[in-house]
Amino acid sequence: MGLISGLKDSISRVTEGLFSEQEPKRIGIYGPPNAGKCLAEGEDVLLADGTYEPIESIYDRVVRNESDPVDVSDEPHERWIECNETTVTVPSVRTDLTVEPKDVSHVFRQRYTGPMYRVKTRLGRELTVSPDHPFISMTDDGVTELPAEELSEGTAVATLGEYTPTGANYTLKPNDDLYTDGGSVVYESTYHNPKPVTPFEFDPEIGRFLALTIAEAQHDARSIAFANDDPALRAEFEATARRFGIETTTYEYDDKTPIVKANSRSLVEYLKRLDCEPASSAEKRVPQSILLADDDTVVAFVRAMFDCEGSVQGAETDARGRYVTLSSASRELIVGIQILLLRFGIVGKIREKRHDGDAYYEFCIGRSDQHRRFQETIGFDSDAKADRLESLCAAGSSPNVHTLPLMAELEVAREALGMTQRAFYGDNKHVARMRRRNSISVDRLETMADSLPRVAETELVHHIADSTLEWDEVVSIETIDYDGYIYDLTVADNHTFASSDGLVVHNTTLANRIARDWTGDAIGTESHIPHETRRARRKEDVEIERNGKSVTIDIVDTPGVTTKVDYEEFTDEMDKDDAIRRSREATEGVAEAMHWLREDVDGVIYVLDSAEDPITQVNTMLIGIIESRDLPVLIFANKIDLEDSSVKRIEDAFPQHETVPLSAKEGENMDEVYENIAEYFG
Amino acid sequence: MPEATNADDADRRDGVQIDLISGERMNGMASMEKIRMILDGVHNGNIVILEEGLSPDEESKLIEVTMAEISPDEFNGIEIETYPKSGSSDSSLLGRLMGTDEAPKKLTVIGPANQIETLHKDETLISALVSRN
Repeated sequence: MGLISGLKDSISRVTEGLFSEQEPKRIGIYGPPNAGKCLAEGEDVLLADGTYEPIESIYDRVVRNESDPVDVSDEPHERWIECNETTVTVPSVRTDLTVEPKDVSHVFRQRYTGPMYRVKTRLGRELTVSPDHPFISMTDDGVTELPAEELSEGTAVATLGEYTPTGANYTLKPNDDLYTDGGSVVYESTYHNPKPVTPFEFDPEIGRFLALTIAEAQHDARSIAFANDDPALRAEFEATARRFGIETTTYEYDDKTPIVKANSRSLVEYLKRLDCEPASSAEKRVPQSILLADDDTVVAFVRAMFDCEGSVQGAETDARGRYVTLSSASRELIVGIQILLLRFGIVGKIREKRHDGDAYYEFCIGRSDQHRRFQETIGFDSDAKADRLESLCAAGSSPNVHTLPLMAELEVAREALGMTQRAFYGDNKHVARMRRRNSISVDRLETMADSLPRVAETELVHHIADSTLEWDEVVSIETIDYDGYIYDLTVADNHTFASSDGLVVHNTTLANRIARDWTGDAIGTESHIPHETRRARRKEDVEIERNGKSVTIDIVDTPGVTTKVDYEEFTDEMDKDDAIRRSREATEGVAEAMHWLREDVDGVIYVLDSAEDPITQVNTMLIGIIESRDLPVLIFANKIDLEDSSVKRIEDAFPQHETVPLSAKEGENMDEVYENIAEYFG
Repeated sequence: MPEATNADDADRRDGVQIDLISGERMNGMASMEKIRMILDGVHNGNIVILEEGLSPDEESKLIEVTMAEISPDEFNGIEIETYPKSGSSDSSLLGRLMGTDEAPKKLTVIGPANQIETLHKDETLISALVSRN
């Protein structure tokens, strides 16, 4: 049963039980304000075109771009803006584990003070999220959305393993310091007469030039000084500079790496137009022009990066320690390289290392199949490195040993199909041990998929085998104190998006507010909630059909009740007038909700978060008010899927009322919920 | 009866004024009078402590009127604390059966939201921090 239809059904049973008369009755939905499922400020989100953007910047962009931002949130402390005129597209994971571009329907922001979780994985992915924020995980039950606070070391989480960008044209950044002189561009200078540069079409040669600049050059406001021991790379830098119309100077000193220097302010300014800014080594990153470039240019860029800063390790040794690596002081640069390599299905580990007290990062490609893929698609110009890669690839295979906790599930499937272990797993080998440990390697699943029939029981095996997702593993979860804005996106249909380093997460959905979602839905398929939702909303004559009978009710959906509203909490994100208007709407909403509670409702559904302490002033006061009016009240103890959830705590707090445990998100316990409701009200 | 509230005096003394209002005084007032008295005190930056609290109906009106009076840069609303009701007491059930609207008779602390912060609260103790501005 779908969650929404299930809820409708349950609520219609309640209403039937409560009110058997024909005339419409009014049910008020009340509760304290909610907390969201969010990412910390500063977290980069991968966009469908292959670029990435901090989540707060996506939020700001949408708010700026919408001529009349529609805020569907009914809480004063958060904004939930519809993307009507703004298109933000992200790679999104479907339930069958394939990846497709999807549009963001809403951007979300909330002020938050409290714990956040910094989650790190074996592949060096990192993400800071609110405790409720779910990752796409693989558990005993198969693919599951697991909130950060339920993750533990070893939990398998999904990361992107391959992604083809949707393709977008890079638009040269404007640069007012450059002026055009015929076919050339020149830096605008009062005192000097700078040499012009001659731009040429963006091509793989520019891709390599940008890589050389980013990998090995001291790149400042006036010059680019490329330092490398390889004469071929120095010659290449010199040749491309010349193609721009700039003559370089070579400096060779004893015992020092030779330098080729392009002393041209015009060139530095022109590279800014390609999003290649002067930067210290820790601040370097892959320019947008490369993230959006065609595959040939990307290959040229990545190959040049590896020619400069890459190395091949362990070509002579046995299975362990065979790596193709790339080092940088900038994690962002490494993440950018990983994004580029996703085009070719190459995934590496991001390792933080220390050298003389300074942090640097190593991108590390460890699997044999990916060494081959790297050789086929990227490779090296440098003969020495190419030779070492050749022997690494010839040295044999190390399998994808990462395991998933699926044996219990697989055994159920095997028995349902009446297959022997040998037939099902392709081989008897290790099956007993795999069962004991409840773990099976991804490689094994892929092999099994070749011979298993495509039936419902084997769907997960085929989905995993067909999927390009990598199953990464949580290695640490750190709690941090947070005070600031938190953000989220709502992604159409799939409800998933990924961080720039590929971690797949679930998004905030309206299902979190079960009752509100239901009222929105109950009004019809056009569930576009009006702008003034911070006001209490009335939906009249909502007809709910059940067992051929229909019940008509009026629903009063109220904003979270509070005793205080401070407009200044909104002034960071909107001008003062809007903040005041917004706080005014919130106060009017609560005032109306209070008024209707005294005058105008016939029953109340009170929604509580079972992971939170129910004994708050607002809850005690509201329940007291509802009781004093002798209104029938049903308490929904929501979010029972969370670890901290305690239905008993709610039952103990309000023992005089029926508490119905449920998880709107997981659809958990819903059947029991309906039974309880029917029994209590029937 | 002399008026207890004098914000100017409070400002001059750079202190926080606390009004303890007896159940007796409250009993003689209509609901809206009580709410007016509480909110006037809170508007002036006072902490208002009610010996016997408000009825649920009055609490709901207090929230409603507070919301109506929230005003940018002047008033952000109130913080209110009472002890939690101790479960479903027989008396309240009986009270409901008898149709009487029983007031909880519980000590209640009310103050301006920007000045009072609840530090701890359980069934027998309310601990609050009050700042001056």
